[in-house]
Amino acid sequence: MSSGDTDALLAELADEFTARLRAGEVVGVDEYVVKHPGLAADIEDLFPTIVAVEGIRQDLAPAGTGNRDTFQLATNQLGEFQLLREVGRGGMGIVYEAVQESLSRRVALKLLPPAVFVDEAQVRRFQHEAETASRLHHPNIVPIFDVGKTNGIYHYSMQFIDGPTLAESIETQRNAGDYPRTRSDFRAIAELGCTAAHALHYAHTNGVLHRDIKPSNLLLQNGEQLMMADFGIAKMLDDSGPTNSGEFVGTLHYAAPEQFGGLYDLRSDVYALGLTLYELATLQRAHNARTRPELIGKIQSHSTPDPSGANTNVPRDLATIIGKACAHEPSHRYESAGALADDLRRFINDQPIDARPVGSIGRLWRWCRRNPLSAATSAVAAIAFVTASVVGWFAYVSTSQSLQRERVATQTASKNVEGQRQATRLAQGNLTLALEAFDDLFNSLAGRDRALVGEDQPIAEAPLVPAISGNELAALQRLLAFYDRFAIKNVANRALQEARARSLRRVGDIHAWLGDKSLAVSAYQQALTAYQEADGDGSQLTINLAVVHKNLGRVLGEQEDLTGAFRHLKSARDLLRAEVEVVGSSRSRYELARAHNASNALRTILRSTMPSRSGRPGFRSSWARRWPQTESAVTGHHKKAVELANSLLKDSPHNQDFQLLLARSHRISAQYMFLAAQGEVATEQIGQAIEILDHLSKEFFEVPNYRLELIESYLLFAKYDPDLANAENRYAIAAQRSQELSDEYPDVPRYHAVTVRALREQGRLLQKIASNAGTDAPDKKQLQERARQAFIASITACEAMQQRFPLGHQHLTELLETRLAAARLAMESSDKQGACDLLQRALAEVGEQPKGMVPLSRRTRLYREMSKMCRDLGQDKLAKDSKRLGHRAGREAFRQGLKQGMSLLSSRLWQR
Amino acid sequence: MTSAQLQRLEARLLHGDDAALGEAFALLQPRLAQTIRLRMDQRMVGRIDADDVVQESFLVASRRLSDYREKVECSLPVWLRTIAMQVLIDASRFHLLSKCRSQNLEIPLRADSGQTRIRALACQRTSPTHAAARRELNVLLQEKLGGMSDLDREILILRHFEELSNNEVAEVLGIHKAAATNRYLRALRRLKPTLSSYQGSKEKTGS
Repeated sequence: MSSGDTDALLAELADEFTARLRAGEVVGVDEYVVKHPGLAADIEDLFPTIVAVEGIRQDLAPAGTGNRDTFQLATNQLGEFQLLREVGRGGMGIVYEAVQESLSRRVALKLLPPAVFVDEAQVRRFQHEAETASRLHHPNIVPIFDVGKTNGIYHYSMQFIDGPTLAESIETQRNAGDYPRTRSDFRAIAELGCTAAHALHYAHTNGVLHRDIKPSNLLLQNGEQLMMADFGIAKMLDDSGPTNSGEFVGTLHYAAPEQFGGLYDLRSDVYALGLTLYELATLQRAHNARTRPELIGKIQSHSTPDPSGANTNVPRDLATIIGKACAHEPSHRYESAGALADDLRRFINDQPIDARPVGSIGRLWRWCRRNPLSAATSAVAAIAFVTASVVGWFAYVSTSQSLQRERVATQTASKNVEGQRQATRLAQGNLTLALEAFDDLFNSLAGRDRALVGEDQPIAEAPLVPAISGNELAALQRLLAFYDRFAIKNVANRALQEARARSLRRVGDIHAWLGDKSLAVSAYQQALTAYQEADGDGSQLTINLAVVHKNLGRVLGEQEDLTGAFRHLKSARDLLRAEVEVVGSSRSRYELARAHNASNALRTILRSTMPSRSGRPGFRSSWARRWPQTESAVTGHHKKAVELANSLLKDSPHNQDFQLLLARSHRISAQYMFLAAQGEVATEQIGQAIEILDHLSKEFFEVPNYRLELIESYLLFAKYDPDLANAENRYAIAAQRSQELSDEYPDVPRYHAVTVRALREQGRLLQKIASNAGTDAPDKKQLQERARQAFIASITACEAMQQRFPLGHQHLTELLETRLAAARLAMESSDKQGACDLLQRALAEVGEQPKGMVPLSRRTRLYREMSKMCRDLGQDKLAKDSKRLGHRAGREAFRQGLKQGMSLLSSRLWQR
Repeated sequence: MTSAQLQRLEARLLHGDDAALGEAFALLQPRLAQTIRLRMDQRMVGRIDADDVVQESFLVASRRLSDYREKVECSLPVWLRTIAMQVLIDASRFHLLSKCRSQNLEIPLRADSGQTRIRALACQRTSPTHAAARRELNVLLQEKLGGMSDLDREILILRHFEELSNNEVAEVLGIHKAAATNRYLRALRRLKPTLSSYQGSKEKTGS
């Protein structure tokens, strides 16, 4: 046996020996000596050392808790406080019952561990936070008296509450096996929750977040009055935790999922309160795990379990309320603690609650959003699921209907007729619920994207039809089938008229989204009728009706039926304005502001399809007169939209949707003003928009669409900036950021689209700077080269996108424009051959373009440009081809124009 | 914790099962926390909690999961250990820099500096009965370990205090497996006299 082999064997034995020691076995060295006499000397030599080293290792392991809270006080006197007894001890310090001798009042004194503060700034922040919290005066909030430092120990004092914490009373009940059972038990729990939610809401409206709600921070004074302790402070102390960015320590069991991403807002407090209610109702924690990492994993990837799973007696409504309060996504929770309090009150009073149980599809969808990685791989499965749901839907309804009937019938055997009626109602309720689940799915598909890029975006700037990926398309088509079928099936059912109207509206939305405008129009028109016939909550109906008007107006605008578009937008505004005046709900204000924006967007389209003033003298006389009028209209809409957005933000300053609304109002108006050569106004507005969006995209970096929106704003600003160097800079930023965005989210076509556009515009601008530079400017060549690079990058990006998303026909137009720009550049740098090649490619591509994808006016313009360039190049055949196509498009535009009373516009546009 | 278990988790992770990461963390948590405690700068003791660092590491790891999948260069436990060490260094840097900004801009932040660690290790006594013996051991350990080459010292710590396997040690130190084995046995031989005497005193105190 060589020495190498000996060592290997020895090491193996040593490993085994160590492993057995660690497993807690009592292993004798002799055992090994006997088994391996050849190695006896080595074993006797080394194994005792291993035992010793392992002994040290075990001593090193932490004994129970960490070393933060192990400090002890030597005396029972701390400054003016006489400590009576220790009442609590936690990671964040020790709480004593004490007497403040100067005022001879009884206080609870919390001492903080010495290692809590790293520097002065943190001390100041802590004091500031404590002072803010001490300004809270509410009967259910434990008042904080003061903050101090004695003998190097920081402490703060608060009113002493004589009574158990909820954690203690939960513990007592659990030990006694005294689980909440009766309706009045749960009502009492809801009362506690309602009180806590009110107190929390009060603190939130005063700008203080609790940040550490848990049963042990809620006390029952004299066993009955609920008191919340430790407002805002506990979390402060945790900032000395392991990192500056992670920002998380706290009580892990009550942490909301978003906290692990460093986010915390009032909805995270709502979440923690929801978990507390869960614990009250079930006497056990909602999330449990053996280790911290496991717990974190659970909180992040699992939604809060249904409380009725842990205690079957929990009433359905209360379980639903708790489920909504602890929803995984903050946006699915109650928007404020006040809303939670209201719903709990409804439960106590036996009124119908606001929260809706999440259906199975909703759950599936939420799961997908939480687990994007797994969801991506199972997208196919998800779509299959949707299909199955659609097909199986009606079967399910009839089954559950009869099941319900059966159950109700047995329960109320004597009132059979009543039971039947109830069963029908329940079945209808289920149907509406299913519709909601599908709406959820639709919204998640369209989701924020739609709110951002769709609705009120001026079309001339945005990609004509937002690109969608194959998966999205498939899912949308399934949804379309479901809604369509739903609408047909329920024509006669009056009770379901509203649901039917909603389905029709979705059908319209989906068609519009997929680019099929005329189908969208007819669906919207049916939806209008259905909404008018439906009965139900008047206010919601009106708003929905108005939204349909608005969407219809928008689609008509895209079809260049401007008269119809204006008419519907006006109806939308009128309806909403009346609603705002009468009810003034935030939804009505929000939608009204959006309708104003949509009207402005339409005017922007109108204006951008007009030739510029300098172009056509004859044209100018007839239309120029109308512009001032339009300008004041735009200013008016903008003002109203901004007013509405501001009033909404006043009520809920942190609402991202409202902030976005404000930014978009500014941007849409800015776009018009730029077109109208009102540079100053426009610059100010776009500046405001950029400021808001910059903030939003930094604050919510994980919402890619804020970043997209910001990029779009940069693009707009750059387009009209008279300072070309500045503009170039902005384009460069936009191009870079959009590339980052599309790299980060390679599956979202519209991020690729914006990259393509940013690069092209950058190229165009460089080209412009180059041609302004005069023939013998030294850097002209360089500029032209950079422009060429940008065009090439844009074309490459566009082609790559097409490969990836074969459905993106609409981007052919983009590609076409880029090729034209590149061709123009080639002409300028007298590269005739290159220009010809590009033009030929472009023309070939036009042929592939499906009809109706591009507004005629835009297509006409493209053809005209092309034919002109071909002529200049001496390419007669190409010129003729494009001219012919251009004529055809122009004639079409002309006919359409005539029909719609827009003849002047269209004919002038082309006939020259 | 068996290496077979870890290998299964690693395979699952590489095949796209994200949940395996959480399980791996649950499994490795004590080990990683121990690593953190050992490698923590003396000045950080009491300021940051090893469990928090592990928790943060989990978040970092789940963010970098795709990196790991694309270019696996080391085994899962070693990768996680590397991340934990990075998190620790970041945390230390934040704390120490914000504390000492005025005086001491250059802070040597070598998370693997042997001497500091050993001192910290011996200082972390948790049971008073061993205090005296530990003090004595501290001196002996420093003497003995100080005389060793860096690599030998490191191997003992990795093997016994961080509970890494021979293969993992080889990976961490970037040496051949056989070399790691040889070094380990040699280091053990050199440590022998010191620790045997400690062991004697420990048995006398009756624990």
